[in-house]
Amino acid sequence: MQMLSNYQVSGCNAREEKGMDYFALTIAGLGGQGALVIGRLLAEAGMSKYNHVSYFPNYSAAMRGGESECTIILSNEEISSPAWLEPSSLILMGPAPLEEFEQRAKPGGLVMIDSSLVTKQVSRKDVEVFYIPASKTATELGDSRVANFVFLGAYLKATEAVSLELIEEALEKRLAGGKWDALLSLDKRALREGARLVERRQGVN
Amino acid sequence: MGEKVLIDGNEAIGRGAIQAGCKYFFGYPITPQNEIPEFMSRELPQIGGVFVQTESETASVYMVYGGALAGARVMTSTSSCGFSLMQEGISYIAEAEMPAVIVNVMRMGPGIGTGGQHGQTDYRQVTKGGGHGAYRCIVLASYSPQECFDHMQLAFHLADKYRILVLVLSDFIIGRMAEPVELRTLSFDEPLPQKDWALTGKAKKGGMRRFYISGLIMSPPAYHQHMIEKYQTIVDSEIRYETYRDEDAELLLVSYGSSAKMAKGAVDRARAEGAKVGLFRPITLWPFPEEAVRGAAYRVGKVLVVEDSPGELVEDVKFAVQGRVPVHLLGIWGRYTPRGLMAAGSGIIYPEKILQEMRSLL
Repeated sequence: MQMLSNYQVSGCNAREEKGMDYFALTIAGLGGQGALVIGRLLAEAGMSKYNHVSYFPNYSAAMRGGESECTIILSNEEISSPAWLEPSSLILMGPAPLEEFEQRAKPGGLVMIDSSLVTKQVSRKDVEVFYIPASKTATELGDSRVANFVFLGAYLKATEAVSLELIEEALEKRLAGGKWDALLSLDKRALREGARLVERRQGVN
Repeated sequence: MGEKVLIDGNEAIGRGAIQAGCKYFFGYPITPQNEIPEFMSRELPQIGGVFVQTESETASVYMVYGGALAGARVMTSTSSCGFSLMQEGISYIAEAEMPAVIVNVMRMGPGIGTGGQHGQTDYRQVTKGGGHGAYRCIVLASYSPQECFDHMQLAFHLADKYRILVLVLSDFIIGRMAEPVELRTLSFDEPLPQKDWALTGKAKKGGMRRFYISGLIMSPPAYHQHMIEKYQTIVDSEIRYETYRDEDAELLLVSYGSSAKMAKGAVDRARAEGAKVGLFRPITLWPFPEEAVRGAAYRVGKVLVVEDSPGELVEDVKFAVQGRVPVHLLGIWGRYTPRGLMAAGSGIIYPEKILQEMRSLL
């Protein structure tokens, strides 16, 4: 079947969405990278800002290394469908084929890829692209496994869908009890670092 | 308003069951419904209930049968292949007219299927009876976590009201998607019949030790006449469906469960572009909202059925409209697999595809 992007769809793009009340984000990665963790967290945090949120995970049977992705929608209007082929924002965490993936971005949408894993450039000219060295940044912070939080911080800086503080609150709730304190502080640093990467880029623009 | 929590459809099933007063769960693990027994195994012991992980689905269904005979609110949950294994017991429960609830979180079949991913290929089995003996079960098709929560309460109510087995139908997408669910208690404002038949034990317990399921042995016609009348009462009073933006529609989508979610998204997009489309969503698959579908289809004049299967719901829709309105089908061939997600259930019928199909019909 051919790609479905050969028609125009109504709705606003990621950039116009900034500060508005509808966000649709798909995060794709490999099992173990934590795409679903940050997706669920975003939905949880979104509950205190938006009237409606939805979170839909889609994954293969393998727990490690299988493809997985999730779609999060934050909206003040009722959410009809929890899944769209072409959401307004896409984060590609893994080293999946970029040519296929970038086709799914809605014109005017946002695409984030891990520039430490994918060396190719996005060929689409009608989307806003963020090359985030998430894995490299996470490794420098002390653990490559927090690359997901680098992405989340970057996405939130770029869109302001919810504040970093709301995410941290949701994270604290989830990792309560002291046992996870080291992880919690690492996650938070990764989140802030991701935001800084986008901030720096915006400063250049 | 009750408290709102972000939970997936599977957990909503568990919470809804406990809200309905269900304290007994017998189940055998199978993807994609494992979050239900996981939740029940954690929660039921804390409220004085019983969770049994059985040795097979056959055992689960007979334990449900036994629990129902004792007059308790009991349930099990499973997915397609496990549901098939329960059919003998389901037929027996139907014969004895025992109130119970079984949840089927569908996965693609036939056979072992896709090993736990989505699909809607159990429509015929749940609506027309997978077991023998011309029995009926009420089938509630949930299309959101909130509805999963609400439907469990409704299911136990209807089961007790009619002494019937109620099936709650979900699937991978509904089971695993999360949304804020309001933990509300539904009130049904009608008295339920006493369970004076329940085998609670004699003497101090004041109940019975045995009852005979003799109707069928003594007089098959009389037994079936009784069942026909009971089923007719249910058809007359329990049909449920939702219509969405179909007032001035020129094309009517008919869809249930997770496909109806995608269809609703497509209807919203199409409406935003000025296309006149609406959605009819059966909530009770049995009793099927036959007259309501017919009425809506005749008014609109053109129907598109959307279901993630080779075409099962479409048969009931065609039967309802009696050949007087064209009925099109977007089935499993409408799935699209984002590259890189080949293993994950091989595609979804995305709203964008439904939109494309609607355009070709308008």
